Amino acid sequence: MSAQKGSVSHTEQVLAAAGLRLRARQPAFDVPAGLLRLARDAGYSPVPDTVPSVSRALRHLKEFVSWSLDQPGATTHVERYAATLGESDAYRLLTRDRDTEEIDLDGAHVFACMLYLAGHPESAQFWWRFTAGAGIGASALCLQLLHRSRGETAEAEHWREMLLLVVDLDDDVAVKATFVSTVGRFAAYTRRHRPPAPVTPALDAEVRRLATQDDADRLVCRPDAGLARRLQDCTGSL
Amino acid sequence: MTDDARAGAGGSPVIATGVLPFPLDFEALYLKNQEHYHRFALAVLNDRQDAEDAVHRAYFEILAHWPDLLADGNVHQQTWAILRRTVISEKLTSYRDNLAELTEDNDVARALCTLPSRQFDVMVLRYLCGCATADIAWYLGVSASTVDYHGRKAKHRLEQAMPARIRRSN
Repeated sequence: MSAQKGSVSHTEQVLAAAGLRLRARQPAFDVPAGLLRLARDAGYSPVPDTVPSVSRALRHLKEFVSWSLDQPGATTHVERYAATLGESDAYRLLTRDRDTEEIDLDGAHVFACMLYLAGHPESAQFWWRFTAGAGIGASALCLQLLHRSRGETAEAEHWREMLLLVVDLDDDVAVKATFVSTVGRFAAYTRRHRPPAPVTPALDAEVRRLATQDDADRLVCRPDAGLARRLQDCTGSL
Repeated sequence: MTDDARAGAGGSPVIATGVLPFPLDFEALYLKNQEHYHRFALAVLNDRQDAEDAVHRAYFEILAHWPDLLADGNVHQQTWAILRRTVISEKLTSYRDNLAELTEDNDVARALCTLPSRQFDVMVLRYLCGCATADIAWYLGVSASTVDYHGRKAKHRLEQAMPARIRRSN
């Protein structure tokens, strides 16, 4: 080995050893803090760590709605609901007390969820109001989230109050607040660990068929047996 | 916060109160490069806070000129130039001492500091920061063969710069 080559080797050894020391002591850099510092100094507003409440509400609503459709018995409820409505005269629908007694309210809630997922939020809102008024807490939660996602705070508060009334919780404000946020989180958790049955084109088409089968500009539609079957096809649950 | 408004890349003011996320490609560059940028800065500056401040200033400048940097073609060459200027100018006189302390060898540190900047960068990134050739090529915005070329040249110069006693002792 030549003397020249040897000296380079010495340098390389020194550098390599120094590199090991350097890398051993380099502390972990706090990347998020670095980005925030940069954003602040560069005149960018730091992006808050929390999701805006309207986006969060919309996400929770979608998660909760998908979760509702995926529940065991969802299809049966819709079938019962469709059967009851099938017997009613359309023009007298929901005008009599016995409607709320005979109608399968859970089925109506599920139906509203289908309408929502199929892109008919106004129709969904109608049925949710009906079922929430009749004491279905899940519908009240949906309405609360729907209004919050639109930035309609007063309406959202109203349905939140209705929800708390329905579930008849302790009067403790903290318990109530925890309950509402926990339901949302529970739905989100469920969704993360059990992906929802997707809204298939078949279900979507079925809802569209119902929505447009009569007059144009029809806001509220009613389910029939075909829809229940489609839901069953989609979710595979009974 | 509006006092913090600074001129945006196009000369238009950036309002601090608006929520303005970073350009996605800038953020990607930040995340990809920050570790070795910090390591390079630490090797030269030998102080964690100084290193972080220098890298912060470099990214600040890169962000301010981001659209121009993208338009100019070799964004890596230019971002590296900015980082280098920020880091090396941080403590212009003392980085040889810092390297001497880190390498525990005055001769090597002195020889390293006399290298042309490209060669210096390649040697620090390769040996002190532990970067692979491909990474060095990415950071410097040159080809891998260019990195190797600078590496060979640097080795040759270092070997020439070593005192005769070391050359003889090996």
